[in-house]
Amino acid sequence: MPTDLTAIDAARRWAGGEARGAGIAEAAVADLEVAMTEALSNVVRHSYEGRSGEEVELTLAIDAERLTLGIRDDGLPFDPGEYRPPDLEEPAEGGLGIFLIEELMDEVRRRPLEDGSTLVELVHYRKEQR
Amino acid sequence: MDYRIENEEGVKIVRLAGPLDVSQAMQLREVLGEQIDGPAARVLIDLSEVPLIDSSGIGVMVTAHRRADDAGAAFALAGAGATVARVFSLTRTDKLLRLYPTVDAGVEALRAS
Repeated sequence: MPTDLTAIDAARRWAGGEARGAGIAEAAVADLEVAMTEALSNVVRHSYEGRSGEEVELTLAIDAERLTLGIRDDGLPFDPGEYRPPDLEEPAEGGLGIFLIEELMDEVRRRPLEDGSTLVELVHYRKEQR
Repeated sequence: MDYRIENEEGVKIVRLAGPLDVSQAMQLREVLGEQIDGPAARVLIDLSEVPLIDSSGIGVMVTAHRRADDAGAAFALAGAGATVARVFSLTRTDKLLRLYPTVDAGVEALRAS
């Protein structure tokens, strides 16, 4: 995916379409679509500081147990130490993105790879299979 | 995202269509800013054709709500589907914003405010 906020829509359509095609429940697809929007928005705006012309690699793996969306970027690494959970009693304009990702997905993994890039994995466990 | 604005009994209904995400937020912020133009403004967002909202979209709605409050105007949202309503609920902005199940209910409430 190009590092452009307007490209998120196509990425969302692709992942949502694949997930639906694989029989993932509609509510879970909707959660994935919102979570990946937040994650991709963070990558474009923060990891690449809004710089266009770069590429983010998206992978989608679906098996009987889980759906995993991988987002690999070569931008600035995310510093979890800088993250402050939002104060939900006082809704503000910013800071809700990472909170939403954590709420909407069953598991969120974030790790640096050996080549210096960062991989974020958004995981949904297929409850409809249990 | 497409939008059109209709006037119904003194209430400006902003009908949005399409996902409301970070790529659309700035444009919508401007549109709502223009509509909330004074204490007489009654602005209702119709979300019934919005399949998805992200934190940027939520932020635009919170800003519009506060702007309306400061101006003495009235601002509300109506017709959110399950996905959009879930994001309002998770972020607890459903406690702050005025949300109505249908546009008709929203128009009625805004006319009375």
